[in-house]
Amino acid sequence: MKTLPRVIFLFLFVSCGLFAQDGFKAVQDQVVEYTLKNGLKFLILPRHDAPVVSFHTYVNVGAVNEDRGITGLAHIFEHLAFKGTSDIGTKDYRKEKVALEALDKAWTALREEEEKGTRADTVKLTQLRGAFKKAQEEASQLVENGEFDRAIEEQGGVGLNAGTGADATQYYFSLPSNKLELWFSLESARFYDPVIRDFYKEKDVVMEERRMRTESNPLGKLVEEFLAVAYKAHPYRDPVIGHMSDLKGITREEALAFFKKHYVPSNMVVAIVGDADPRVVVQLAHRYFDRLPARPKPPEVRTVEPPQKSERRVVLHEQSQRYLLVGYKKGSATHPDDAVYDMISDILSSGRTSRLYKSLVRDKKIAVQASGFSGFPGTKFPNLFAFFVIPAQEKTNEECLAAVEEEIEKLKTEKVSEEELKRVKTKARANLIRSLASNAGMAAQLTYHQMVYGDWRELFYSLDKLNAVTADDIQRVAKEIFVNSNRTIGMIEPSK
Amino acid sequence: MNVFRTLAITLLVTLAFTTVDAQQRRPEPVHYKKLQYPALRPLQIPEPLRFQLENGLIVYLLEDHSLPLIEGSVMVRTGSRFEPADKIGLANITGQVMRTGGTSSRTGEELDELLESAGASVETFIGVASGGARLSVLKEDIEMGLEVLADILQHPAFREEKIELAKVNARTAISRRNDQVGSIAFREYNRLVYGPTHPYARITEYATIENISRQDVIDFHATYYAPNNTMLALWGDFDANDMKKKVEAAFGGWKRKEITFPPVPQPRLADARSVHFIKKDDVNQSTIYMGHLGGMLNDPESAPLNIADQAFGGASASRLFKRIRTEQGLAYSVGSFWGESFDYPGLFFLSGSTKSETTVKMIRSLLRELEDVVTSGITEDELKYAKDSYLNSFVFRYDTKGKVINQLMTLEYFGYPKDFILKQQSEVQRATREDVKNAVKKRWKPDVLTILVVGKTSDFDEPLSAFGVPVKEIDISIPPPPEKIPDPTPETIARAKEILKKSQSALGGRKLLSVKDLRYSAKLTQVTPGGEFTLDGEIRILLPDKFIYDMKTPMGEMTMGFDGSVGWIKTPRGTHDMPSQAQQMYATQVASNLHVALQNFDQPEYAVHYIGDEQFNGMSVAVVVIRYVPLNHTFRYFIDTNTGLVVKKIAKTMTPSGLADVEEVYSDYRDVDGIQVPFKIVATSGKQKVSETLISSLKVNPGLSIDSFKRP
Repeated sequence: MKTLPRVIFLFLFVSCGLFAQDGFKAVQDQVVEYTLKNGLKFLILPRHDAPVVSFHTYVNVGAVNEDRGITGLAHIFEHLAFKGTSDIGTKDYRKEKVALEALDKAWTALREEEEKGTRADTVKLTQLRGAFKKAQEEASQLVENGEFDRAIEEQGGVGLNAGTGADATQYYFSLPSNKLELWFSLESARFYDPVIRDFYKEKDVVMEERRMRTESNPLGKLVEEFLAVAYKAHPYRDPVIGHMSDLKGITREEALAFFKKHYVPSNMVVAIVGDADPRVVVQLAHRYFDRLPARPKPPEVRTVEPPQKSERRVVLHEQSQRYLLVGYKKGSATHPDDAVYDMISDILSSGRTSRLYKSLVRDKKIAVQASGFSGFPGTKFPNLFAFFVIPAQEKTNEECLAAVEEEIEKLKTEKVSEEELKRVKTKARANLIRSLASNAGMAAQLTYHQMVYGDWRELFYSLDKLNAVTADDIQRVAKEIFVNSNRTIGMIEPSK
Repeated sequence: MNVFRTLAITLLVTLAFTTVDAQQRRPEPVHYKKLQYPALRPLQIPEPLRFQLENGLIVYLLEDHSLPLIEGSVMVRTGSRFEPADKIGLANITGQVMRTGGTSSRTGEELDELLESAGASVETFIGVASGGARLSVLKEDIEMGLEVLADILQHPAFREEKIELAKVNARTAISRRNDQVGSIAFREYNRLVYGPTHPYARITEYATIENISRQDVIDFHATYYAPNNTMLALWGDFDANDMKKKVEAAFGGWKRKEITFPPVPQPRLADARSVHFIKKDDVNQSTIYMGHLGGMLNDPESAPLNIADQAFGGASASRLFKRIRTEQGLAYSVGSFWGESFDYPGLFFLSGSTKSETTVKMIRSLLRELEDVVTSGITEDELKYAKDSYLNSFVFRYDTKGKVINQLMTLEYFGYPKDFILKQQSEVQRATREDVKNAVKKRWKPDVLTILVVGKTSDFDEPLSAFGVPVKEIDISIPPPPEKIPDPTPETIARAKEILKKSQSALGGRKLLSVKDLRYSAKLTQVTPGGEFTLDGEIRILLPDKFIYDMKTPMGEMTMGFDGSVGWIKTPRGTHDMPSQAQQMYATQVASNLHVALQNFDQPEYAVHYIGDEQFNGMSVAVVVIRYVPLNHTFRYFIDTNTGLVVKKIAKTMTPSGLADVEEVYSDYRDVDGIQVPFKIVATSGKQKVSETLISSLKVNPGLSIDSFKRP
């Protein structure tokens, strides 16, 4: 144990009776926060109940950070992050590098000819397609297919996956705790020295993903059309999966530039929860992640969605039964009314005592599912308070909308009773306790609160904030956001 | 001078720091292949406390003081596999309404308030092979939670309005079942492999939901919910001895009872390859399933097959993922699944989705990979990958107390030894490439694959006939709900009797009343999923309820009979009892037979009422509802208002695809000994033809003896 880094153990003192009683404070006190010089932050919560440990890397880049023409790139890069490095996933990188450059050239030549459309030279096209296919085969032969995934799975890694949203890209898995260092080795390598291989095939895979999630899925189509109507300026309007034309056109160069711009250590946060010693974690963090160069933080999204002037509506006719989606514009996660939005969501949607369940599902029997929730399609920027309803057989979207409006009207005109407030607060507290049980869940929560609120402790403060919400707050916010000119309505109607 | 000194000191200090820095330079990152790992600290699997109450309830308890919570789960030996074929959905509705319908002392709404005010939950459900409940409470509320759980299990009230709510859910699910390609594909694949009416694959229909009464729900619960048929597991922040007392207090008064379980037929492996498709024109991607029946967890080949599945298509570094997704870019989702259940065969399949234009290419690739692994097995390297993945991730099977206790309870529920998982682990450890190769060869059978494609067929790269077997289209249109029949009134009953009287005279009057027995010869054409086939048969009926069907089948002669109390089947291989469901079905056919029903409609066994006139084939017809009381079988006659002849019958009948309204159209009426007989009967269900009967001869009163109906 030489040169033990000076870990700053942050012991926090929060004066709140509830915490002591529930052990929230005990949990909070165990979280160790450590930031490397390059700006990469680690949050460590040691728990030694079982010899397992979960990892979560939250990168503050999502579809909102894409420009025109490269929609879908944040998600494509997430796929590419499993392709390896110059010494993982390759049979001979020196040769592969040459093959990859040749492949890019072949693709660019083909693409240029294809873009001529009807004026393209068909003989040349056939030639170029042949050349591209050949270049692809040559590059493929040098790939050690699946090495990155295998390295994790064969050491007992579980829950290996990643996800891209409007706001963020997240990478996660869990390991038996004696393999702690494996995560450091692989995770640092893929963000230090990523090699973008299998690029054109991976775009085909992503196009299949788009066909599955959106083009062959009525609900996927509704969400895409709905957001395009609800937002006219802010990038929340564009689909995370990307537009088909952009998926086809995105280049390897653009993917690498996107990585360099956004995968900056200070734009990332890591949480490690489970059977790990924080001192060892910090040592390993230095050993493996110090090599990531500090780079300037990427610019924030400039475009602000202008205030909505009138109701918007989109109706899709599909080979599907009905669906109803309604969204009201509201503030972001850091808006002072954040806890009020959550409270309204709980009152409307949480459990069998929630208002939408009681009205639409249980009593009127016009829906089989009805919920209202805050934070669609993201939370980092001003977003939507959304209502999602699945009408019961032979019931209409219109009657479900009327019933939702009735509940909204109640929030605006009648004060929520003390009893109902108390019940919702009790449930929120119990659910927070339950969420502590999972290592992977805690790791995700810590990184999310750190990145979106600027402080992981918000995870625990959120309960205090919720407890401070009054009936007056709820009425005030309901009156402010639930206004017809501030909403977008999306529906699926059966086409037959 | 001073300047020099300062400079010198600065230099010295800098040098010193540089040296320190050099000495303390952090170790270099290590490539993952060169990493050395310490041994995993030994896995300590906690041992729950197990005991049994005097009434037979088996209880598992495990302390877990990490959070101020207590969780519970319950398993009850029941399941949808035990529900009757004409009431599919009964188990699911029972499982829901146990909780939503409240108990004898509290409504569902009162339970909602009570539980949610404490941030607690108790939920109940019934699945295919078990029923159960989940409990979650803050530790200070455990007494309330246990009391509610015990109350719901023992005294559910099944209030009518919550049964209706569950039915709304069920009907909505039926109406929405064709909205998502993925769920269509999985459901229909399941039905193809197990058989559409098999308890592991059958689906709810509007008709089966309408058949379910509150009494059915009460009876289903009463049949299976007893302490000697139930297990309870609790884990969390409690003292086990103290909890034992609480459990005794909450459940000790529950009375045991005898339970018998209806037999569930074992599904059979297909004997040939078949190709099926479902047309879906609003998609641009095909969803593909191919496979056959899977296995059971305690099969001798289970360990090697799981290794094979992991290496072949069960993980993200598997063969299918690498070759079909990464190398060919054909699919986003692709994989294999060797499914094992505890006490019946699961499903085995390869599946994936690809754009319409590469559908056949994708199927070919999957087939090639399957054939390759069946011929050559897996490589040494794949074996290592699959075994390491299984063995190194083993700790995650025991990383929470909830997993430990639920695993033990589930093993006991299905009669497995408690160290089953550890034995499985050592089998995986021991398995060789040879074992895997033999297991795969034995259990994965490319020759009997059921291949299903859902997609836009007009955009496929090649027709599906490329696979050399006839391609069958599956109709997934949803059978419409049965029409609502209005309740009888004295007026409609009288009107019905009037109409039927007229019909009785039209069919032969006094001659019809004098019929004692009948003998028909007929040519029967049956339409099945496997195609049409025609049989010659003879039907003998001794009124009112005895019958014999003689059929000449390709397998030889087959006779089915019912003597009024016992049903039997005689085949060249011997005679056996008729399954009670089949017996019931034939008995309802006799009861609703034209001549039987019209002779006897004014007997107490028949309840009749008139529901209105409508048009049929240009005729005005009167619709009469007839219920045969002993079997509670309801059917409708459509009677020509001019001639009094019955032109159509609608009755709920079992068909190859499950219970449905079957419509029989009667035509070609001829006079036989003064009695009018329709010589042609065409049966349809939905828009599909089910069968056609052409009568070649009929003998009235041939003088059949009672004895001839007895089981031979």
